[in-house]
Amino acid sequence: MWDARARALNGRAGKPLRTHMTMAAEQPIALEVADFVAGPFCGKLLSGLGFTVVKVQPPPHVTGGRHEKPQELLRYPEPPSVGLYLNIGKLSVTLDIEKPEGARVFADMARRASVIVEDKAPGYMAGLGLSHADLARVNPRLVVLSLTPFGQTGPYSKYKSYYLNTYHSGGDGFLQGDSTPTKGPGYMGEYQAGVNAAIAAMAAYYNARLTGQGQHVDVSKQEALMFTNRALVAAYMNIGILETRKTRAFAYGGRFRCKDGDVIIVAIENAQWAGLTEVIGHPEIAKDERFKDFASRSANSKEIRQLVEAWASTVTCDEAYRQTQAKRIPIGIFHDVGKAMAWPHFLERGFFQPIVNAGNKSLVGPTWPMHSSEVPRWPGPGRVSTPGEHNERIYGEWLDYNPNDLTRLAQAGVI
Amino acid sequence: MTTTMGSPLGPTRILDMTWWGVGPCCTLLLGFLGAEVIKIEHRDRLDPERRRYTKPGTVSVNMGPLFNDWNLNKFSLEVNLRHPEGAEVVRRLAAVSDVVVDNFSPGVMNRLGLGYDRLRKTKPDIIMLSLSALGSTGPESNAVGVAPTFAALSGLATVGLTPNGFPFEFRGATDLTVSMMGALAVLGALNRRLTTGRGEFLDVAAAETLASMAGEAFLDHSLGQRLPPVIGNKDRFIAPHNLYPCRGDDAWISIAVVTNEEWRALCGVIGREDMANDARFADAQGRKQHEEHIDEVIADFTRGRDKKELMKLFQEVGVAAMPSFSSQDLCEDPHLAERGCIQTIQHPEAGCVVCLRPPWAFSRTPASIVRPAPLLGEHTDRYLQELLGIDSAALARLRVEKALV
Repeated sequence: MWDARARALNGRAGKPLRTHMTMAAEQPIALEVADFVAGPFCGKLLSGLGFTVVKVQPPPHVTGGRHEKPQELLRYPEPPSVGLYLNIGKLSVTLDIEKPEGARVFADMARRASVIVEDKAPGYMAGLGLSHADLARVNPRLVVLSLTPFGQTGPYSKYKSYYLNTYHSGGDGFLQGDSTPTKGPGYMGEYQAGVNAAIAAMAAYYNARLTGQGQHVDVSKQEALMFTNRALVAAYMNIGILETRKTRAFAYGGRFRCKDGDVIIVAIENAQWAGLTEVIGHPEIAKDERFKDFASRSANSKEIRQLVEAWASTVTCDEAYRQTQAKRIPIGIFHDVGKAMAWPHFLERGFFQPIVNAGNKSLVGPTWPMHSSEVPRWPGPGRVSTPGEHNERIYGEWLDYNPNDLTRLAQAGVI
Repeated sequence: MTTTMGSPLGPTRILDMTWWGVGPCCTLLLGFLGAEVIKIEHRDRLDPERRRYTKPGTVSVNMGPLFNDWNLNKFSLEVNLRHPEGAEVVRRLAAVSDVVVDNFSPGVMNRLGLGYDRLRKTKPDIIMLSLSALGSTGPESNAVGVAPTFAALSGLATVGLTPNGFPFEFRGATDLTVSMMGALAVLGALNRRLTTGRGEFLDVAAAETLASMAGEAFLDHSLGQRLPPVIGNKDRFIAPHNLYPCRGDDAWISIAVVTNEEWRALCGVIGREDMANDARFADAQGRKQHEEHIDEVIADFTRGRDKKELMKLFQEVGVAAMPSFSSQDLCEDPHLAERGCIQTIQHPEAGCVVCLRPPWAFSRTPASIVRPAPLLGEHTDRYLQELLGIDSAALARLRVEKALV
């Protein structure tokens, strides 16, 4: 019934679709049916690249479901700051797509969308009649991006995997940390999967603009993470080198403690080593037999570390940075987030700005990781919508449902 | 316009001035998506990856296994950028390209006569991406940086700590994370150009990419929260959430239990139904409180068992458990094999090259590996003749002048 109604609206002679709903490149719509971090980060990136992103979430009263639950917990207790960061500027509707009427409403939205990002278990959307094939019948240009821990096919596709497990399935966890393989800090793996998904969504969307045809893209978070470590797969498969945390540890470089914090120095090349000996006040050891090349330096790493540590303990991080950079040796200061935000370089680039209003505060965070000559500087802090905040706007204006429709849908628990 | 395009990006030409890791892996992604990637190289400024990991005494510059992975699908032209005619050849190539990508220090492209303003003169809608550690502008834009150093500066490396309580010392995976952000920036620009007809200059700073992946930590700080960093594999709220030792050398399995249902299932597997009924562990809060004890009990169970067997055992009852896979594990993995993740391609000198397929499966226009990494300068003549109409005599003269090799 809803499909017929929508068709009637759109087919009305002489009346164009509302411009803010069209395939107009200026404001394409992306529907985000995703939880936790990876999917919403993909949505955040699409939002920054020009999409109007509509988050579609179940109404608050929905706790269970007749269909297979998403593999990652619907209401994983991530800190509120995660949602604050990921959902700036997105519109929000509530919708129970597990009810037949809800699925029809979703299909209605999908008719007018350019991209859908979903992270549900393989088969979940298809079970509701909302697969790419289903939706493409009435919107052939639609791109659906499915993002799951292990992809749509294969023995692990049915496995349950939270962000800890997904990270370690990708191969980088094994190589990171010290006593134990360690996942990246925060939700790093999820963010990496999110940007990988955004690449696929943008590429498929670009193709759809040129060809008039959309498609389905299957993105596995495990494969996204494996991409970041493809060097090691290449090394193992082609020359039999198997890297471990031990083989990857910096022999003589790495972390050093200064008066007011830690720095990390990487001085692998002979020229860099020579420069470092000058920095630490021991230029005479540059040509010492014990330290003449990387292999010898690795063999005598303890001595080197002692010498560098002695110097580091006499300088601040900033002094260490200046002196070491002056010799063109890579060095970084271990900033905590507060120090990073206050670092003069980032300040001048304006990278950290108030990005979101929460209550009566404007919170400072990363703005946008690409600077473009075509895109204006950060326009100022946005806000995060409450769930369902745009039900009326999307269902009423965009889909053209009348107020009675909306009341009925709400009463039936569909929205 | 309707075009038949077998790949996502179709006929998009990328002039690739990059070398090392971050840059080539960015253009690698675009090449997987079907773009035509033309590398500009020269033996006097050889991409170090052409030599890394080769056997001692190797003369060929075409045997580096990482180079041969990171430069799949690409073409190679050997041009002397320092020769005015060499730079002019590259400018002419830029004039018939869609995108130019570099990861030189800021200022180098300008000095070579290949800066954005110069290239725009002959190709007003050129898209230019500059990848760097800290960005094209700012007081530290000329600093030298590698993954561990720019990750430290970004703030990401201290958002969590290693199991022994130290900040993270990142490596190559962080570089390729920046490559992904660079590729996304190019896709955004290609898309915008379809709408506006205009090109743009893109500046992607590695440190900013990484900071953007810990946004919530910055917001927490801004909120006045001073939360201690999470240690190792733990979660701030959830337990058990850790790695547990398995049978064998450096063998581990990750286990995360979020719901009460999963907790009961885990207790069943490890033969500790008593813990399933213990009020202390009945909810997430309780389990977090007693995390140390629970970790010990689980480790006692996993210690003598095979990590892949444990994975199946736990997954069967709906508990999230995955081993910490090594590269060897990945290469032998049945799931990845079924998904066709490990592919091979023939390289004229290195022989059979094994590689990971592109990290997405497009249903209609696949991303693919279609040719091996190029030999140094393999395509110089072909490209200069076909694209720029430079005939054999002119090519010979350019070689005499040493503008070409």
